[in-house]
Amino acid sequence: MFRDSRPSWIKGRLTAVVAVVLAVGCSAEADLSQSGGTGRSVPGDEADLGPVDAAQPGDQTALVSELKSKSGRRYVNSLAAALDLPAQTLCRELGELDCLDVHGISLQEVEPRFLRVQSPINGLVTGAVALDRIAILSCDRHVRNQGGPPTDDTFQRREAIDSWARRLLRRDATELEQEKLEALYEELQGESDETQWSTAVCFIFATLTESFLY
Amino acid sequence: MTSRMSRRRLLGHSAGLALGSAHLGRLRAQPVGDERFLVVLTAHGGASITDSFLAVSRQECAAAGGDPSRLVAFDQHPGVVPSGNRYALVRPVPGTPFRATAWRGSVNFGQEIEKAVDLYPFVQKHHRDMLVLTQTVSSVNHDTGQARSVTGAGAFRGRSIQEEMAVRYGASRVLPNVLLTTGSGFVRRGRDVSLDPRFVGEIVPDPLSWPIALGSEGLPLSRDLIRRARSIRDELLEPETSFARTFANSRERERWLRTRQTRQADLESAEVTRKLLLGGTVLGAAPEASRLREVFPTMEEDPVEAQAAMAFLLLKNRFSSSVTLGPNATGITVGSPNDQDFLRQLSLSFDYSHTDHFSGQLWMWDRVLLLADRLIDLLKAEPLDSEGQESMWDRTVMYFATEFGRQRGRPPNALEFTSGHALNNGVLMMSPLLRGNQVVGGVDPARIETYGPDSQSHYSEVHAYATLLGALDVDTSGSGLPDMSALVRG
Repeated sequence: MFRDSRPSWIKGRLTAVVAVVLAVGCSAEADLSQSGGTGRSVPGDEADLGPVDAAQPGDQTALVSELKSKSGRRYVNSLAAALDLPAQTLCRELGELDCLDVHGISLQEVEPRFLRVQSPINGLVTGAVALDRIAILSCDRHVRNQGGPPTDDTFQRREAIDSWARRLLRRDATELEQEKLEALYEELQGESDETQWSTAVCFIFATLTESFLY
Repeated sequence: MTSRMSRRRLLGHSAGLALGSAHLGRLRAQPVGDERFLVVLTAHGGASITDSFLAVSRQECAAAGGDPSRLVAFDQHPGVVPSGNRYALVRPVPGTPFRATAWRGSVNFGQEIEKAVDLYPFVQKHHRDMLVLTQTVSSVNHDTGQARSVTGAGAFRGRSIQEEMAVRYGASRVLPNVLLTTGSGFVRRGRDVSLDPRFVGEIVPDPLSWPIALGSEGLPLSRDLIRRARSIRDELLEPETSFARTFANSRERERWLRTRQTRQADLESAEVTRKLLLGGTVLGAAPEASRLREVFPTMEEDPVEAQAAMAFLLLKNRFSSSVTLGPNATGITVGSPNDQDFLRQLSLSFDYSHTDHFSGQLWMWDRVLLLADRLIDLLKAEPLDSEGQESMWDRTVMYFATEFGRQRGRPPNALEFTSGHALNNGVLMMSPLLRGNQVVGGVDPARIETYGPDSQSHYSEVHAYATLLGALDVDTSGSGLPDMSALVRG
C-alpha cells in the first residue's frame, strides 16, 4: 500500500470532483431513457455546475473537449471501410498519384527517410483542402464503382441520405440533413446527373467534423 | 543602443492602426512601396565561413605565427586554371573584402565521383550585395543551432525571422510564410504561442505536387457544386450536429472550421493552384513554368531545384513574403552515375565534413551558391511594379542560415580529413537593402578564427537576427536587440 500523504484539503476536493464526475455520468446514463428533460443542477459540496440542458446526451457540451484529428492514413482507412473499397486504391490524385503521397504530410503523416519529417505537423492550411479532396475522390470512386443508392423518388432519396450517414457517420441522418440534402437534389435537377448528387452527399457527410475528429 | 522605429515604419504603423477597424481578419492589400521579401536558404550541417569567403592562405597563417600544416589553411591560388586532381586553394577577389576558395577532389559513392569547385565567379558577380557577419554561436547541436540561427537564439518574442517577416508583410498574402525545405530546426515553429496561425510556416512536402492541395482543380465535381456542398456543410449542417454541440469548446474543431471558412476560401479565390503549377500534371502549368524549367532543368529529380522554382512563383505572385528553401540532410542524385553532376547533394549536406571536410564544405557551398545565383537572377529580371524602376531583388533579403562552423584542425598537410562542429563562424546575407561588399568583423589568421567588431569581442546569432530585421524594416522598438542599422541602406 502507498501512503496517501496529500493534505486533507486536497483529499476533500478530489472527493468532491469524483462525486461530480460520477453524478454527471450517472445522470447522462439516466437521460438515455428520457425523451426530454429540464435543466438541472449537479449536486456537490464545493462545486455547483449550474443548470445543464440535457435534452439529448449528445446535446450536452462536453466539459473536456480535447479532440484530435485523424491522421491521413487513419482517415483514408476509415473512408475505405465505410465505402467498401480497398484503402490502397481508394484515392488517386489526378488519376495517378496516391493521395497519401500528395497529402500525407498535410494530414499529420510523417516521412522520416527523405523529408526528415519525424513527427506529425498539425495545423497546415493545406490539411483542409486535402481532406476535401480525399473525400471527393473517394466518394466519386465508390459511386462510379458501385453506384449510389437509388434516388428515383423522395422515399428512395431519404433512404439514400440515411444510408450515406450510416456508412460514414454510423448514425441516421437528422431531419435537417434530410431537408437540406433533398433541397440540393432539387437544385441540381437538370444541371448534373444523379451520381453527382450522390457524390456530393457522400462528400458532405465524409467531411463533417465528426467524421475526422475524435 | 537599441533600435528605433524608423519614420517609414512609424507611418506604416499609423496607417495600420487606421486600417485596423476596417480589417475583418481577411486579406488586405500591401502597398507596393512597402514591400519586402525574405529568402532563407538553409546551409544545413554547418557551412564554414573560413572555407569560403573568409578563408586564410597558408602564407597568411604562417606570417601571423600559426601552423598552416595543422590548420585548415588553403594554398594560394595561382590565378590561372589550377592543375592537379586534388587541391584546396584561396585567392582574394579584387575590389572586395572577400576571399574565394577553389577545390578539386572526389567523393566515394560506390565509385569515385570527381568534382571541381570555384567560388570566385559568384563573388565577382554578387559582391555588391554580399555582407558577411562574423559570429560565435551558442550551440553545436544541429537542431538547436538551426533554430537559433533563425530566431536569434530566441532574442525577440521567440519568433523566427520567417514568422516576423510574415507578421510584418504577410497580412495581404494567402501563404505568408512558406517552408519549402523540411526536417530541420530552420523550419521549426518559434516559441511565440500567441502568433496568429496565418503566420506560422506552411510546410511543402513536394513543390511539384503541392499546388494540387491548394484548390479544387482536377476533381470529379464541378467547382460550383463543391462550393454549394461546402456551403451546405459549413453553414447549415455542421453547426446543428449533435457532435458540434457536444464539442462546442474544442479548439481543434474550431481551428478546422476557421481554416475552412477563411484561409481555404482565400486560397481558392486567389486561384493559387493554377499560378503555382510547375507542370508535369494534367492540370497544366503556370505561365512562368517553361522559363523556370530552363533555369532549373532537373527540377523533376532535384527537389531543391523545384523548391527554388516554387519560391520564385510564391514571391512573384505575391502569395508569400517569406520562403525557406535549401538542402536538408538528404543526399540527392540526378540521372545515372556517369552523368555530369550526378551527385547533386551530399548526404548530410555540409555535415558531410564529418567524413571529409573539404568536399563537405566546397561541394555544398557550390550547391547553395548556384541555387542562390539562379534565384537572384530571376528576381532581378522581375520588375517590382508596373513602373519598372526597381526589380523584386531590390526588395529581397537572402539569408544563408547555418547552425555553426567547423573545427579548424587537421592532420599535418592533409587534404582529406574530418572536422567536427565549432561555435566560431560567420554568416552570409545578400541584399541590395544591406550595405554590401562588406565583412563585419575579421579573421585571426594565426588561429583561423573569426572575431567581431574588435579582436576581443564576438557577434552572435542575435546580431545576425537584428541585422535581418533591420533590412526588412521590422519594428523592433523596445526589444533590446542590438542596433545594427549601420549595416542597412537608408
